[in-house]
This record gives sequence, structure tokens and C-alpha cells, in this order.
Amino acid sequence: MAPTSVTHDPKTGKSKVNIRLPCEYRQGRILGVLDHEIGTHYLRRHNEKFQFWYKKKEKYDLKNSQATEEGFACTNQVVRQALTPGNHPFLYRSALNYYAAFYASQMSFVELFDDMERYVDNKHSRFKFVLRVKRGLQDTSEIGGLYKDQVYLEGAVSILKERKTLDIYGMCCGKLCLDDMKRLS
Amino acid sequence: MGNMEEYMRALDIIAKTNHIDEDEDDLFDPDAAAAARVAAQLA
Repeated sequence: MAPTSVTHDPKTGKSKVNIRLPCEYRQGRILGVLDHEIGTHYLRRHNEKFQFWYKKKEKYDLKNSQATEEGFACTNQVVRQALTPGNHPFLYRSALNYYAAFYASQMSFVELFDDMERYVDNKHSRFKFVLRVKRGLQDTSEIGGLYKDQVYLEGAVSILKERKTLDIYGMCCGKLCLDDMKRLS
Repeated sequence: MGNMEEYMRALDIIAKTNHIDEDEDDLFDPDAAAAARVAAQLA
């Protein structure tokens, strides 16, 4: 469902970036995607192996890090855009995923598809936003969805709010959530 | 992604572009019940 993912084969120790075909990324966006997948997820996953808490998260009472993981990745995805004059690093994809997740709890597939027209005029793009949040539902006329995509925006907002005191190098040292990062420092 | 100074400058631009420092907390938590469902799915 995701346009890009990273899979890791523990037997060979190799990781692979999977890009859904047909590749729909524009030229400028692919670098941001690589910053998301390799510059964030792969880097944190790789460094995690060298930490004392590796595979001992319960022992050290470490929390779920998914919001921080995805929020950090989404933020890093637009860093190049931010530094390119004339570009606007909007977190609109994360925001749309958040919006779709929330309203999926109140609307059917078709209702949500129609509702999101105000934000996404392209039907193909809009269909993908709705499909992503409605995946797994057997009856698309029912309300409900997969709400975990809200973590992208929640994580990004938390990181950006704390950016002035955040240990960026520490953020890259493993798969920790923001709260556990503070405990470390 | 360049050096740390540039990176931090980028974060400031991203924050400004997305109105992060403005007092709009309710924008990101429109329904506590929805947030609870997210937490339940992540657990």
C-alpha cells in the first residue's frame, strides 16, 4: 500500500528499498524519499544494533517509537525542499493522512472520497489516500479504517515543537521515542 | 543533508511553513476517541 518501503533480510543482513510500480515520484521528490527511508529508517535501524537496549526494550521500559520514527522521517523528507529557495516544505501528505484517518472513523469510503475533494482534486491521488486508510475493511460502505497513519503528523509536530532542544545526533542513534530520548540525555 | 547548522535552519523553515509554533494544539487532536483508537491499534 505504501509507495515506498524498506525490507530487511536478517539472514543476509541486506536491506532493500521497495518502490511501488509504476513509480510516480517526481524528480525532486525521490531524494526526499531516500532521506525518509535510508537517511532516517535505515540509519536508526542500523545504529540501534549497537545500543545497550537492543532487543531489551522491555527491560529498560522503552516505549513504542513509531510516532517519533515516522515523524522524524517525514520531517527529514522535506529538509531538502526547505533549503531550496522557492520551495515550500509543507507536511501536507502527513496532514492529509491524519485527516483521512480521523474522518474514516465517521465516513464510508465514498463519503470520505467525496469529502477530500476540497483538498485533493486529482481523483487518482485522492483514491490512494482513501484506500490507504480504508485498507482491510471488507465492507467499504461502513465507517472505520486503519488509524495508525495519524502518527506521521503527530510525530513530526512533536519533533518540530521540540527542535530547539532536541539532540539530533541522539535521534539517529537508534529507534527511540522522544520521551526515551530525554531519559537518555 | 548538509551540516547541522543548515539542518537546524531547515527545521525552522519547516516549522514556520507548517505553523508549528502557533498555538493550535486542538488542530492535531480533534477527537480524543480517535486518538484512543490509534493507541489501541498501535499497542
